Amino acid sequence: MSCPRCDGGGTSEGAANRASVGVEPTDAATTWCLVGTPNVGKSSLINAIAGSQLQVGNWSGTTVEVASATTRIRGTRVTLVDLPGAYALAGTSSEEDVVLPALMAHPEALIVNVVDATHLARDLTLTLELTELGRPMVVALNLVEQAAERGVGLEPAVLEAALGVPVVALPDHRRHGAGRLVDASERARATPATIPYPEAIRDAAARLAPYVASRWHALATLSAEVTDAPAARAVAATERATLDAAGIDPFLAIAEARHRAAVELAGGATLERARRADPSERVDRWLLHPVLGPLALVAGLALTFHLTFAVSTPWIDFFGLVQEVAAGWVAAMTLPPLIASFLSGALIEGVGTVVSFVPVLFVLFVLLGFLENAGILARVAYLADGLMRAIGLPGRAVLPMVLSIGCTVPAIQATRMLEERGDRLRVALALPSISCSARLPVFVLMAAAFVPAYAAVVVTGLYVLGFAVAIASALLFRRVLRTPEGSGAMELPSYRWPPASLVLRLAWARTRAFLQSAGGPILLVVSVIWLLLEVTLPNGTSLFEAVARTLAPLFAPLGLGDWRIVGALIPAAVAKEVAIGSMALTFVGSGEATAPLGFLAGLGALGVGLLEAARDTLTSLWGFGGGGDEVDSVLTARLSGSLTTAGAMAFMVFLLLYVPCIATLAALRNAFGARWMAFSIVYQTTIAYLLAWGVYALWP
Amino acid sequence: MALSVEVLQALAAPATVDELARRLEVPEAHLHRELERLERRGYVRRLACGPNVCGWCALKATCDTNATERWLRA
Repeated sequence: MSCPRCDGGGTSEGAANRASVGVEPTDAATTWCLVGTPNVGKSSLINAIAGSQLQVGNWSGTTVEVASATTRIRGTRVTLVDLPGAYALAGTSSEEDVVLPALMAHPEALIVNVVDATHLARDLTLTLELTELGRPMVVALNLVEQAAERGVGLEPAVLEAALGVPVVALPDHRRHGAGRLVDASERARATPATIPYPEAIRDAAARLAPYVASRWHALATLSAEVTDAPAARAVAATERATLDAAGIDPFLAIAEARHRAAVELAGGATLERARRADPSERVDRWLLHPVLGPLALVAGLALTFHLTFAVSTPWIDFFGLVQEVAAGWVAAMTLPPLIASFLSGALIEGVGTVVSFVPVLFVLFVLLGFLENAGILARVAYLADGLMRAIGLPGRAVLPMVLSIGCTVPAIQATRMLEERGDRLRVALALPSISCSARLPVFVLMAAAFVPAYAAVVVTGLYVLGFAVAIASALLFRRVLRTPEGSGAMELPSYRWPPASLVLRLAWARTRAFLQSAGGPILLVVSVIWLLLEVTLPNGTSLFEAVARTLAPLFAPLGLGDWRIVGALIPAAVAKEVAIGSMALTFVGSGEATAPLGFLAGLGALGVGLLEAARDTLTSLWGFGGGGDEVDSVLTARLSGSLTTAGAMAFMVFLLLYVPCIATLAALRNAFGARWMAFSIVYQTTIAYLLAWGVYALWP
Repeated sequence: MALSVEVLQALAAPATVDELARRLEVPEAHLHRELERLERRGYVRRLACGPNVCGWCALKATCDTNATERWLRA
């Protein structure tokens, strides 16, 4: 099963647009490579141009590998290549190291250099390096409005005249800026900047030029930043010796010349204005307060789940109504009993119940998308910095943990932002303890059945428990793995108000990808359960029941005596959300005598239900959860009689922590090998059993 | 290379990675790598205490490298 967050292949502009990840050159008519410093907004710009759903977030290091999206611009098919953020072409990290090879893999590509207007001088140093590649290029000035807030006015025309390549200023609403960029691309040209290098450096670079691809390569070879051209190495060694004798350090001389040129360029293209108070600083004074900050963090988490419940519950009920109507229509048809049983049991009740919780995921993805892109998640990481360091992890290790709330798979991929392999392994092994979106529907269902009045509190508590176990695990693994202390705290980007269209588009892409990727396994597993329930043994019980009853004694110490509950845990090892489908089949199933329903009567009921869901949503938003925020279904009613509250809590804790889903195990195997994947299975199941037992034993 | 000059200018006086990151508004991870690169080339050096510098110490586990380890232009 692929990951719902990074699998954002779909776009809003039809089948011509698509997004992919890889480093292969494409066969598109034109290719644009977007290069810039970290968190400058390259992925957002591509999403604005191509309508794609590349992973975006308001922190540096969101893009950890080369990704691309394809679109059609004025009749030409254009592939937009999104490169990880880099301060220089000669990288110092694994992400930066892919930038130059990716540019060289697309020799005909237009370079779009996205420049942070708030750090113009620094970013122009990279711009100067790029011009020295001798490739057609456009400069896109981003974050212009934030620069204005800091009292910096920009003159793109001055910069364009000085650099000799088109320069466009992108407004914060990037969709309009994309048009300007397209216009500028038609004027793009290769103009190596005039940088006042010392004469000795210029001469040495000229002598190296025949052996390398560009002036940049000549200078990089001379300063020993790049050593991959064997023919040039010997010449460079001789030139360096000559420069040494003259008292010139090529690395420093080149760096200082570029820096001076960039500062002069930036100085010429900016106008100092009165500095407006930075709203980010004002907000951060409260949000990053050592006492108020963590309180706000917990309150924000609780509010997120409260809103998730309040807004999604009317729609869960509506999907429940859709199931009832569909079951009524099936009952009205004359079908062979086995087919009718499959339709009403496996499809409508089993798969339908899982799908009915999709609104929960959509609302959660909307809220997470907002937090990611507004810069709030970066603050969460900043606040957690001290805690992370206490367990010997760099502050930014909290980011994969927060991403895990959406899905564990991209979170494991995001561990690549950490420097040390030991840190990456510790965090990746800790991540499966944090509740992902697939577990949320099960918690919503169980909380609605057993503790309806405290559902949001219980779900928030499960998330807190997941984080606590993850942190404790990371600490434990530090002792076991004896990893050195990592480095790399979370930096603070400015707050940005993400456009509603971006947040909704990301949420929809993630929800759709979830349905597409999880749909197959859910249908398969639920169909198998249905089949096992249909196969009756000589003693009158179904095969599924027999298997579940055999395992039930193992779970008796956790208060999980009901075979239907134990049975739900078996298929949920494949994908956690399947637990709902299993419980729907075993608790409700196809045995219910559903009254036949006419087509028009069903449509009428759906229309009324739709209006009620819309009204309840508005009421819950307006009245802050005052609307019906309790899931009301036959399944919840039957579930509530199957377990004690303590048993239900133990079930949720076990489901939270036991064996990671198939997709997570695959991601772990790919990143760290089969041995660590096997370790994760054993570790998580052991922890889950012990904690669930503890919860059952201690629950009042 | 873009950061090298800024880092070297900032290290006219000793500073920790934390302090440098805030002053230059650069992610610590990038800054740390840049410092290590400059250290390999001999342009900067580490000062004072820190888990990567000290020998045996009972309080070593409590040391926060980025907060205590100071860097200086060589």
